[in-house]
This record gives sequence, C-alpha cells and structure tokens, in this order.
Amino acid sequence: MIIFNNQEFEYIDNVTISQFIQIMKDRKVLNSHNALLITKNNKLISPSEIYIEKVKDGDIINARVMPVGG
Amino acid sequence: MWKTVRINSKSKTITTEDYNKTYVGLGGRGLIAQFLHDEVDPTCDPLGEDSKIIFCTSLFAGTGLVCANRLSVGAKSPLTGGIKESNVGGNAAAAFAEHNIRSIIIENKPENSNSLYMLFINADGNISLEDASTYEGMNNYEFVENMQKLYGEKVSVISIGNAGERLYKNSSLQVTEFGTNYPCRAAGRGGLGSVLGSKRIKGIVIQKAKAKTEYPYADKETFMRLRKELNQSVIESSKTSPFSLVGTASTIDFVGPAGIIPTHNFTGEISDKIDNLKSDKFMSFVNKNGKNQHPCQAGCLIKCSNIVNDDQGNFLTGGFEYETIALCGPNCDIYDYETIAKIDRYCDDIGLDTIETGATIGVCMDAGVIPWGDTHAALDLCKQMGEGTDLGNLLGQGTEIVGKHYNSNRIPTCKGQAIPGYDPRGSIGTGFTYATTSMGADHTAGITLGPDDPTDIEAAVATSDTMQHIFAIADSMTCMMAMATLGGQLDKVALLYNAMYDTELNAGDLFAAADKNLLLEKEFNEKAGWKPEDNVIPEFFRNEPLPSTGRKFDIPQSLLSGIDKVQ
Ligand code: SF4
Repeated sequence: MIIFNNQEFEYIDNVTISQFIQIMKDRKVLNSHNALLITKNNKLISPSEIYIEKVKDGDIINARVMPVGG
Repeated sequence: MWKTVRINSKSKTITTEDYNKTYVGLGGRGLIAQFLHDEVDPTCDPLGEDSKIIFCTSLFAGTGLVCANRLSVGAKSPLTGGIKESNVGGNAAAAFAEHNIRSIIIENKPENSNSLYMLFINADGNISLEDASTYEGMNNYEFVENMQKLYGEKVSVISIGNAGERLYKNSSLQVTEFGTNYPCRAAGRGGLGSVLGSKRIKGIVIQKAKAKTEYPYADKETFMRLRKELNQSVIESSKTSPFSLVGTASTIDFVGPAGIIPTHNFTGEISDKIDNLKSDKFMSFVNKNGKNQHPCQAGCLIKCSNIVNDDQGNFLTGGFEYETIALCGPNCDIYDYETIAKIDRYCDDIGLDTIETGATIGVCMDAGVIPWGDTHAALDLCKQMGEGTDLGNLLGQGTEIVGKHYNSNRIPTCKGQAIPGYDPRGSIGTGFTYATTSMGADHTAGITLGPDDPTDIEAAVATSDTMQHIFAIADSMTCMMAMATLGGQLDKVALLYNAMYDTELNAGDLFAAADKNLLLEKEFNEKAGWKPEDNVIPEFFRNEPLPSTGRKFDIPQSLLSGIDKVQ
C-alpha cells in the first residue's frame, strides 16, 4: 500500500518516485504539469533524487507545487 | 564558440578572449560566481579599481529554449558587501548571444571621474567605447530614446540612471524589454548600478547582429527534440498558471489575506483595502489602457509580464511585478495601483530597485518623515532620489542606512538588503533563505511559499535548502517562471545540457553544480568578512507576532548560523 496525497494506492514494485508520479498523472490522480516538491515519509526528496529513489511498500508520499514566487 | 569581452575602464582597452576551457558549460549565475571567485579580491572596495562588474548570458541564451534569454549581472555588492548576482529578462541577453558573447567583464576605474563612456556593439560585432558625456545625468528612458535615435529602433540597451551615476547603494541596471523596447526590466538588487557607475560607464548598447549565429551544439538534433518537448510542457502548464493568466501580482490573492504580504513597514496588519490589489483589480487596471500576458524576452511562452499605459494611452511602465506592488504598496499603506505604477516608473527611470525603495519609504513613514499612505509624499521621495537632494542622497543608500539614520528599531533587512515581499514570520523557510543565502535578503535565492509551505522548522529548513539549489540552477538557465515546470524534469534538462555541451551529466550532477555554485559564493563572502553569526533575521520579527497567525519567527539562531543542523 502507498499513500499518495492522502489517498491509498496499491503498491507497485520497482518504480522510482519519478515513475510513480508519472503513473499518478496517467491515472489522472495528479492533474498538474508543474514541477513538484516531493516528500516521502515526511522527508523532502530532492528533485534530482526522484529519478533514483525507489518507492517502497508502506511509503507515504506527498507532492506539492514547487514554489517560485513573484 | 562563446566569447568573453574584457573592458578596462581606465586604459579604455577592449580585448576579446576565447573561452577558458574550464568555464565551458557555465552560464548565468554559475559563471558569475566562478569569475568573481577567480578574479576579484573579496575584500576589495565594491566601487574601487579592484572591483569588476560582469555580465553573463544564461546557459541556453539564443537557443530557443523557453525563457532562456536571461542576463546575469554580478559584482561585489556595495549594499551587502558580499557577492551579488542579479538576473534580468529583456532583450539584451539574446542580443549578446547573437554576437556569440557569453560574458562581458568591466574592470578597473578611470582616473578622470568626469569622463563618461558607453560600450557599443555594432551589427558587425565590432566593439567600441564611445564618449557618453552628453548623456551624463540622464535617466534611463531618455537615454534609451537617444540610443534608438542614434543606432536604430531595435537596439538593446543596458543602462544606469542618475541613481547609478550617483553611486547609490540602491541602484539598478535597467534593460530594454522585448516588444516595447522600454527600459522597464531591472537587474535591481544589490546596488549593482553603482558599480557600473563607478567605472564611469553609462551603459551597453547592442545592435542586432547582421550575421546569423550558429551555436556550438554537441548534438543539434537531440537538442532541438528535447527543446521542443520542454517548451511544450511549459505551454501546457501555462494554460492554468496564474502567473501566465494574470501575472506575478496574482500572488496577492494568497499572501494578502494570509497576512504574508508586507504591510505598514512589516507589521503585518491586514487592511480591508488589500482587496483593491487582488487579481481582478489588477486585471482591470492593467487592461484598462494596456495589457497583461506580455513576454519580456523573445522565446518566452509564459508571458507573466504586462504593459501599463496611462490614461492618454502612453506607456507608463512594464514588468509591473508582485514585489514592486507589495513593497511600494501595502508596505507603505498605499493601496492604489495607479500610484504604485507611477513609483515603478520613477524607479525604472532613475534606476532604483523597487524592493529597496519600497522598504526605504516604509521605514521613512514609520519614522514620521512622511505620513503613512501619503501617495504624493511617497512619489516626492522618489523624485528627491532622482534629483539628488540631501534627503534623496540619504534615501538612495538603502533601507538599512536610512533606518539607522532615523534610529528605527524596525529595519527590515538582512545583510544590508531589504527583505522582499514575504514576511519571514509567514513563510519561515523563506525567512531562513533570507538569513542564510549569500545574496542578502532575496526571495529569488529560494522561497518556500505556497499553501503547503512547511510550518515545521525542520521541514522549512530542508525546503529552503532544496529551493536554494533549485534557484541556483534556474539563475544559470532560465527565469524562475520556467523553472516552475522545468524543475520537475531535471533528467531531461540534463540531457539538453549534454546535447549542447558534450557532457554526460544527469539530474544529480545539475544539483551538484548548483551546490558548487552556492559554495563558491559562500567562500567569497567568508573572505569578504561575512561571519556565520551575521545570518540573522531582524529582532522585531522574533519579538512581534504576525497578526494573521500569531507566529513569531522562531527558527533558532543556532540553525541560522549553522552551529546546529537539521537531520
Ligand atoms: S515568464 Fe515572465 S519573467 Fe519569464 S521570460 Fe516570460 S515575461 Fe519574462
């Protein structure tokens, strides 16, 4: 089980965070073209690490829009 | 191949250098940091003969990547006493790129302080220093008009107004904007206009290159394919982005009611009048005589900028941004767009940073120099800075000096530079950035703002750290608005970089390069005399709760100084 933005999803084996986010976009769970800041189990994952860090069963993942400001 | 042009302002010599091999693959802020690290003594007088002012185009200027025609300006800052990089849109970076110029370094200082020159790059790429004494004391709009008469309508201009000539610590460099060709884009922060002024250079004027430029792509086909994909992703995200649909002023809809916008010299008191500045009011104001969704540079697909015309339909200002509105508006109890737009125009014309100016006026109102919310008096202070009255000369030195002059105990600065449009109590991660970045209080060094801005200290510090890296990547590459999309595709951005520079980098390497950039800047500042204990947020933010949330700025000093670290 993975919890993504407070919703439960079945665990998918062997995917990186980046791939997981793409799956969430494909399933229309996430409807954003913006860059995201991701936390996994309350720890911020650098936008460069999302391509390496794997999703594990039981992970709680949250995504927020990357802040840019005026 | 990219060129570096070196100008000696004392001997009036101009040399064109081939690129130092170790610099290939650097652009914008990263290249500025490297140059300053390698060539400038951090202990030098920012306005003295050992200082240099450097202009660098971003990594992909001229290539058609979205928002990539960005120009970085760098020097030791007279305002903060540390390294400074301030970047700007407009049409200058694209013009440099057409001439294959990646950087221009202006060094030394003329013996005769009565002389005044300007750098001219003609359509054939010939570079000369021209006598500019006729333009002494002229502000930016008039100077640009003269340059257009002399060298053609389409000329790109970087210039300083009276503020830079008078060596104000609050002086900007203005750049002509794509489309309008008015000098309404600013490399505003850090007082860099005065560094150019100290070299007795009025500006840089660039004609469009006659010859078509061929950029040195390592793999042009791959580059073009990736560029198309990245540009398309930005087009998609822009369809719903408030920055694109309204402009950066849309930020007020969130930070206004949340009490994060600076009001009444950063007291945070919320006024009902904030409604006068919300997106719908902004749209009616801008579109009454002008328009929003204007691209400040060629190749911009987001168009967060705008054109503001006066009641007669004449151009008043452009690039009318959230930061200007926040600091020159609610921070001074001014809630009408017309006045704020006029202040913006004055600042661009004289060559003043609007953030520093708004914070300075707020401090003056707090000190009783002029009444709160007095629009005429606020405009008069700007005028006085332009005219160089005694008061104007004081105000031109920036918020901190003015606050100390009036014995104010509420001076909103970090490292001598005014805090921009986000109260550090309302966005503690952004406050952490203000206190710790090498740039002085600067939101473009890494803000954490948004509906999910962490309120927990550890998360706020971690977010600030990540955003400081993201902004360092952006400052070498595109404007931040584009990074709001590209920042989620760093794998593809790395491939694009490889296709340009013949490297084999991945997303992690881009982050590592940003880390090196930040470390070079930090090292420069340490050598300049900055100490970890200087990483402070003004005391009143720790003592006074933000009215909207009741929260004080409570990140422990030991974390700001780096004595303690978050896990
Ligand atoms: S998004 Fe805004 S700042 Fe960026 S290039 Fe376009 S108009 Fe300029």
